Amino acid sequence: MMGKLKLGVFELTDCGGCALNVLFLYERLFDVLEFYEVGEFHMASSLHENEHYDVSIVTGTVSTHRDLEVLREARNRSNYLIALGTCATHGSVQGSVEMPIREKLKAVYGDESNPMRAMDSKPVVEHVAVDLAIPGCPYNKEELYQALMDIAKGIDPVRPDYPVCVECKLNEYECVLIKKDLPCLGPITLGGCNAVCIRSGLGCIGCRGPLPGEVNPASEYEILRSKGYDDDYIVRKFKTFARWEP
Amino acid sequence: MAIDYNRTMLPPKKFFVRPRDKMLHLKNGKWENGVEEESLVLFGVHSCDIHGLKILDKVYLGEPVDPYYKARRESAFIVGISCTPDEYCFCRSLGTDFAMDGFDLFLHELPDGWLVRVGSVKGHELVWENEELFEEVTEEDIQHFRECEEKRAKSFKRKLSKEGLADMLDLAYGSPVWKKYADICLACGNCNMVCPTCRCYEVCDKWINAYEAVRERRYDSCFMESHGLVAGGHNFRPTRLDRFRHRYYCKSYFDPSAGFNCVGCGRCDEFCPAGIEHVKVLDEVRGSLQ
Repeated sequence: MMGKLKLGVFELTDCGGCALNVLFLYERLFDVLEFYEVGEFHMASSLHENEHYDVSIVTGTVSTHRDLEVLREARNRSNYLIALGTCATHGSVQGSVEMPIREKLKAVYGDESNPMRAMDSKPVVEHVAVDLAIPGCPYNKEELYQALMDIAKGIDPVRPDYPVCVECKLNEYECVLIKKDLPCLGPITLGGCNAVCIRSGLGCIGCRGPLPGEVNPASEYEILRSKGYDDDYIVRKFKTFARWEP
Repeated sequence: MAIDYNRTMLPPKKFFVRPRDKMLHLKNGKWENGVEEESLVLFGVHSCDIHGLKILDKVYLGEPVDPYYKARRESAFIVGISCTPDEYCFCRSLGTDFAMDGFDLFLHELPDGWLVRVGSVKGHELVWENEELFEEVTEEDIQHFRECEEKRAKSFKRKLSKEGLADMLDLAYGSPVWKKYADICLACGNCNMVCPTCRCYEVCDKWINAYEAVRERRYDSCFMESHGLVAGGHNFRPTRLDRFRHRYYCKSYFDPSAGFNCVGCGRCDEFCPAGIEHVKVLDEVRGSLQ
């Protein structure tokens, strides 16, 4: 086999969990390292090669000018770019705050000065083209593992195209929306998480973002209304991780 | 053990075509077959689900035979059990409320025991080997059985008008009722996942370590946008309306020789988050023609 693929992991503004979660592949990380060598991974290595990457992973939102520079460098130096985690794919919590940055600074700090050169938080996918987007807060490690292995072997990774409900039923979990009237966003949220929250008896909070295509939030809204949840609660629930804008 | 259950979430199909099913194992650069044969007893299967399996038999045991399904089907012993319909059941309208075959033994509850019908050679063998468990059926038993069945027949709350259903659907393709329901349908696929006659599956390869993989199939749903997508980018059912309508045509219109691909088990209604009712949709579609 040819030499190993060069892997870069870049972090923008986020909680750090997405990069850490790569290390949490534990022994399976060694399977990945059969095919990859790390060129840049702030959390795992002091290497900072600043060269060409076969595959790069970017986590976090673009929230500062520094983030934007890092992202552009990563994109320009990489053949294959993966936006990893809901911050990178949908903007997550910081991206869902609907206010211009100057107003946010004023609301929090009392004045509009911007020493950190903060920008309106936007997902990676709104700034550059990506080859693969894996959402989730946190994302499913298995999905990243399969994607990295596929890419190493020249296979285009399979993108889930189904809502959380599908995996919920495959696992035979009790439907918390129908049977317990919990506010579950499973029917309108992209699957791939293996319905992990429903396994614990919790409703889906929509962390993987809206199901692409003809998703039906209006019907989900009506269902939650009929179960007694108020408008404000439902709208905030919908917008926790994604803005639901086209 | 709850022998008076209404319905399980997934039908007994799951024992023959598993929700996630390993087909092949890639090991040392070779694919190994994943068919396993282990004997299995399914106890307490309702009549509608036995009919569901008979419909799947036509699909999976017809040429080309599905080896995974066949191996499990042949090693299974099926014991049916009588049941009481609840608010979702409409099997009587489809004639699936009573099974004449498709089981090894079928138990009907009597006030003082069970009336047992034998449905296969395997069933006969089991009864012969355990003769001490069985008594001859008396006139009184038959009387009780009849009364019970008559009472049950009257207790169905939902009825599907089966009369000319396929012809009706032939005329109703453009009915506005499809749009009305497609607007509230979440396209979440729950109805497909729980259906005893849905047979579509998706096949994916998964790495289990750096050099080994499994080829796995899982239930697929015709509500997914990619279900009707073919090479070249054409999609036979690009909109939710197309996909919503398609399910009804699959259940009640396509291939009339195969009978109806619906056994009236009521699962799709019970597990629909939007509360869409199969019978009501078809009744409204019929009504929209008049």
